[in-house]
Amino acid sequence: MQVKLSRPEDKAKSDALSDVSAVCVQAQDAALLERTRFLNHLFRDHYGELVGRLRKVFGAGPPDPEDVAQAAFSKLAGLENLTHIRSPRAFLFRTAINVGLNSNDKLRRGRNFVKSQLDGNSHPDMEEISPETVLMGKQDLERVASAIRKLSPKQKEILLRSRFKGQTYAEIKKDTGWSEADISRQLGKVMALLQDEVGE
Amino acid sequence: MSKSESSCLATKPDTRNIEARAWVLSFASGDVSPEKERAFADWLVASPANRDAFYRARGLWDGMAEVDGIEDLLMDQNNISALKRPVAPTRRLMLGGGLAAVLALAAGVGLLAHQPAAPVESILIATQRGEIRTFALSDGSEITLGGASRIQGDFTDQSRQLELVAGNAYFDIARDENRPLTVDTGGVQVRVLGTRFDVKRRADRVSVSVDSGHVSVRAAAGEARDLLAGDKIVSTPVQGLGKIEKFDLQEELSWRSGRLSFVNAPLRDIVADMNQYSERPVRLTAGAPGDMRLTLSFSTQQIGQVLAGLDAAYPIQVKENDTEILIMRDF
Repeated sequence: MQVKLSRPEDKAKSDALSDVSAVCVQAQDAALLERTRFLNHLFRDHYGELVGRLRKVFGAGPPDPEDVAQAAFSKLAGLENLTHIRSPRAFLFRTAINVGLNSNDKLRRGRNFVKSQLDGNSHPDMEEISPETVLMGKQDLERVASAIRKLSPKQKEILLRSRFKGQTYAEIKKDTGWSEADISRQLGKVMALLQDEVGE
Repeated sequence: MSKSESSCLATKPDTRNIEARAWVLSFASGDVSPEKERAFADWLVASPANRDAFYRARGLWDGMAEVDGIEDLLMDQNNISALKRPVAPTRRLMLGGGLAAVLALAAGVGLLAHQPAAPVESILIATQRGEIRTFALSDGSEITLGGASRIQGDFTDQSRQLELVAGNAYFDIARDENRPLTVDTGGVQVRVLGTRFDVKRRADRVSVSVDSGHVSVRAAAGEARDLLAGDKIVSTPVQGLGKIEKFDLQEELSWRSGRLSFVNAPLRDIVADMNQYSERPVRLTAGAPGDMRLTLSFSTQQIGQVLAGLDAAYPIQVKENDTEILIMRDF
């Protein structure tokens, strides 16, 4: 369909439209500026601490704590709506840890498969953003923390290696000498305890 | 799992949660196969309730990373008194080389020798790089770990078995005539009733130094040697136990107060010890004079300064970047 701009009122309408779009672009710029400012602010406030926390988990790597922290920030920057994040500090740490898990091929394959089954499509990069991973409330997090304090040193060690360092059972066995069956049982107990505590 | 779930109408929520957790862990185990993936897909579509249960379990597994300071909670291993847990029946099996004693907690392991039930206390203590820490054990013993060190083991009514998995430790062991204490490390076993001694595990050897009392040391398949206060022995995988020597108490044990002392020691060993404390790893690059002998003493806080001093005084070059400190041959 062709639009003729021969009549004066049409011309006026068209000018008005372009004014509106100019305002929109300005508003977009402002929003973008605001967003960039917010992201810079988050980076300044959280980057150093995040790397420090990741160093505790990964040591000098691999994965390299700085790489993983940067990847977590890019995921954050890729979010459409930043206001949904309750705690940027917690979001960044969880995201970074999950990025770390993905550096283990076997774990990445498993995670991508689960993701594809739940969504019916496979977008590994979208993983941290999907609604079902927007998680527990403050109270639940406190309950989980209190349950974790009650775990035995061995259970803590296994949980740290499996969930946070991203080690497979075979790798944990190699480092600690515990059998894979034992590791599996211990984690089963840990998960049962946590779920009891959260009251599901 | 999936087969029995195909007709899942009567499945109890409990069973469903157990299965959901098992699936979450199954993907965390690293043991993936097309068969397993198919079984999971079947289970997931068998019922919306299965799907819900899986979301909850996965949310928990994923979401625990949002717990404030979770890494510190998981690394806090100093709650040994809290982990006395009676486990019966206890079955033991020895893994490769007999170094790692593995506790099989549940039934169903099968075919293992059945031993009389004894309450078991699992011991697991570890330090971070740069950390020196003393742990109090339930029997009244105290163990001080150097940086990046780790001990695991079990206490029962009859025995106290520990393994020094990495690093070094000073043992101040409470006397118990009925329960000898053993420390296994790098092919060496130390056996005591109650005494104070120091064990250091290196890549190529183990050394045991006795501060007080009497200690029996045995290398794989060799005879036991008896050491008294002031005695030190070094064992290597090739030569077994060496000669018993006297050692300087001050020098050998000063690490407990954060001071490392070396007399005519190869740079390689000094770097290995620095790595227990340095924030960034220290690495000898190919061609660096690892055998160069040095005599020095410094605080674990001063590793950077010490390396700068070595750079100035010896034919080596020290380069630092954000992630590591490199020692190179100076051309």
